Amino acid sequence: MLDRAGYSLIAEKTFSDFRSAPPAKEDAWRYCVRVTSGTTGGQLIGAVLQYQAESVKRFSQLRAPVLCLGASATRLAYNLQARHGMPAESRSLVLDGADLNSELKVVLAQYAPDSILGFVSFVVRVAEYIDRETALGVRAIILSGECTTEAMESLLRDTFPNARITSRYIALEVGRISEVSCGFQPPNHYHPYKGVKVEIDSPDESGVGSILVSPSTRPEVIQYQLGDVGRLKSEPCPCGATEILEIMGRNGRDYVKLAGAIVRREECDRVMLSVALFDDYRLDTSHVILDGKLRGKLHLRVYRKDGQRSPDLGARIEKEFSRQLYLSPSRTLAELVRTGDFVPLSVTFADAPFPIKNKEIKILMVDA
Amino acid sequence: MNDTLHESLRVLINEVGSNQLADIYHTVWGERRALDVLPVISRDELFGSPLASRRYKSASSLVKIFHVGEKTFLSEWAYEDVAREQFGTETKRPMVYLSDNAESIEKSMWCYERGMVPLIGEVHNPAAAVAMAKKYQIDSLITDELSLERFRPFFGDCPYTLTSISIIGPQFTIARIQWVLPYAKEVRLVLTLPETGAFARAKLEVNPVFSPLPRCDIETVGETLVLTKQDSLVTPIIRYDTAISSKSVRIQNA
Repeated sequence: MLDRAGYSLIAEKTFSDFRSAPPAKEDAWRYCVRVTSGTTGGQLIGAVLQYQAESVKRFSQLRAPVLCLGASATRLAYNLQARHGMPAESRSLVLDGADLNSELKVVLAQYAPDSILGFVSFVVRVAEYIDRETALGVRAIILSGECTTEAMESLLRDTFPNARITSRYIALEVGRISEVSCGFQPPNHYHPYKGVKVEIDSPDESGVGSILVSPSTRPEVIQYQLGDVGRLKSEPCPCGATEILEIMGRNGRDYVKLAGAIVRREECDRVMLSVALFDDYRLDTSHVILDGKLRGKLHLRVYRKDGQRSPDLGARIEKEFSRQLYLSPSRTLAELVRTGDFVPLSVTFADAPFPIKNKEIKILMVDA
Repeated sequence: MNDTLHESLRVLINEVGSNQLADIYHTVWGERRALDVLPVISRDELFGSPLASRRYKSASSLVKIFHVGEKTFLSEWAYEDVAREQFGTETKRPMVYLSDNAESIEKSMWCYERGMVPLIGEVHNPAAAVAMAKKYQIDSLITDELSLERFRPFFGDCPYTLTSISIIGPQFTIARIQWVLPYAKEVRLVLTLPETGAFARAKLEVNPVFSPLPRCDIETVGETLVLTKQDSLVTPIIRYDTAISSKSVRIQNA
C-alpha cells in the first residue's frame, strides 16, 4: 500500500527530474507544476501533472465555460486544458470568490456561458448570481473535487433546467478515478474508470473503508491511499457498469466543505475543549435550501458523561459553539448565520457514548 | 510615430471604424477616422459597453473580470494577443505571483503561450508560494508591488540571483520595492492595466523613465496618459484614457 509519504517520494523524484529538464516549448502546455496538501495539513508536495490529448477531450464540446475552482494552480490547470481542448474561437472565464458580487449577474449575462465546471460548493454560489435567461443557456455542468448532496443537485437542476449535470471522481495525485457519472446513481456514486483498480482497505461491517487506487497509467503508483473513505459494491447498474464506488468523504472526516465554508474536525475539537460543556460530540452537516438559496446546516449531537441535560444547557452550547467555531479564517458560525449563509445550529443530547468505527468519524455529511 | 507605424494605425482605425461585428468605436467616433481628431475614450465608455459591442474579432480567448472600485468589467483577450504581450522575460522556470486571480491566470497563460511552464503562486498563501518557489528553483518572477512584499521571505536565503523580476501595475512606489534590486540581474517595471495589457517599461531605479513598448503610443492629454495600441485586439485600445496621472510616471517617447 502506498501512503502519502510514499507518494511524496515518487512525486519529489518526478518534480526534480522535471525541474532539471523542462519540456520543449511546443510541449509546455502539456504540463502543470503545483503544490498539493492544503486541507490535509500534511507536508507540501511538489507535483508535475501531465496532460495527454485524452485529458483535454472533455472540453471539446464547450465554447464558453465558466471555471469555478479553488486553488490558483487548479484554475490554471483547467484553463490550460480548456485552451487546448475547446474548439477554435471558444473562450473561457475563470471566476474567483471575490467576483461574487451584485455586478456578476450583468457580466455573466454578457459572457453568456454554455457550461460551468468546478467545485459544487462554488457552482451553487454562482447560481445565486445568474439571471434566468443566462441560466437557460447553460447546457452542461461538470462537477469534480467535492462531495455533492441531493440539496445541491436539486438547486442546480432548478437553476439550470437545460443543463446536463455530471460529475467525476478525480484526485490531483493520480488523475481520473471514475467514469463520468452515468445518471442512474445518486450523488457521490461512481463507476471506476477503465484502467484504474479501486480497492477498499480494512472495510468495516458495512463495507466502508479507506479507498486505494492503482492507475494503470502510473505503474509506480500501487494501492495509493487517497485519504478518502468509501464503499465498493459489485452490482449491475442500468448503464451496464458492474461496480459502484460510493465516496463518503475524507478519512476520519477531518473536514467537510459546506456552503462555501470548511468545517474542520480540529477546529470543532478545539471549541469543544474551550466551551467545556460536553465530553464528546458528533456533528451532522448538510445543505438546506431556504428562499432559493443554499445554506449550510449543522446539527450538534453532544454526550455528557454525567448525563446532565436541559433546554438551558442546550441553548448555552448552541450559543457558545456558534460564537467560537470558525468556519473560515475570519468568520464564525454565528457570523455566517447572521449573513444567511448558515441556518442556526441545533443541539441534541446523546444517551450513550458514541460508537467508534471508521477511525472515529466525528463530522458527518448527511442530506437534509 | 514614424510613417510605417502611422500607416498601420491608420489601417487599424479604418478596420475598427467599419467593423461589422462590433460598433462601440463607431458610436463614439462617428465618421471621424483621423487619429488626431478621434476623441479619447474612457473606461466606462469602452468597457462599460456590452462585450458583444466591443468584440472586434473572434478567436480562442480568455475572458477576465476586473474590478475598479465598486465597478466590475469584462475584458477579453485572444491568446494570440496575450502571447505578443511583454509582461516578463522568457526563462526556463518562471513564477507568476500576483494579487489578482484573473491577472495571475492571464500572465501564467502568457508563459504557456511562449512555451514556458510557470509556477503560479497561491495569492492567499505566501508561505506556500515561497516554499514552492524554492522547490521549483524559479529563475524569473512576474509580480506586483503588493505580492512582491508578501514574497519577500523567498529572498532571505535564496542562494542565487534570478534572471529577471518584472513588477507590473499601473503605478509604482519606488521606495517600497527598490529593496529587491540585488536579487535579480534585471528588475523591470512594466506599466500594465488589466484591460490594456502592458504598454511601457522601465528599469527599476530611483527615478524610472518609462519607454513605450513596441506598437504602443502614449500621449498626455490633460493630466492623464492616453494609450493607443497598434495591434488588432479583441477590444482594440485606441486613444484610451488609462486614468493614470501623467504626474505619477515619466514617459520617454521616442
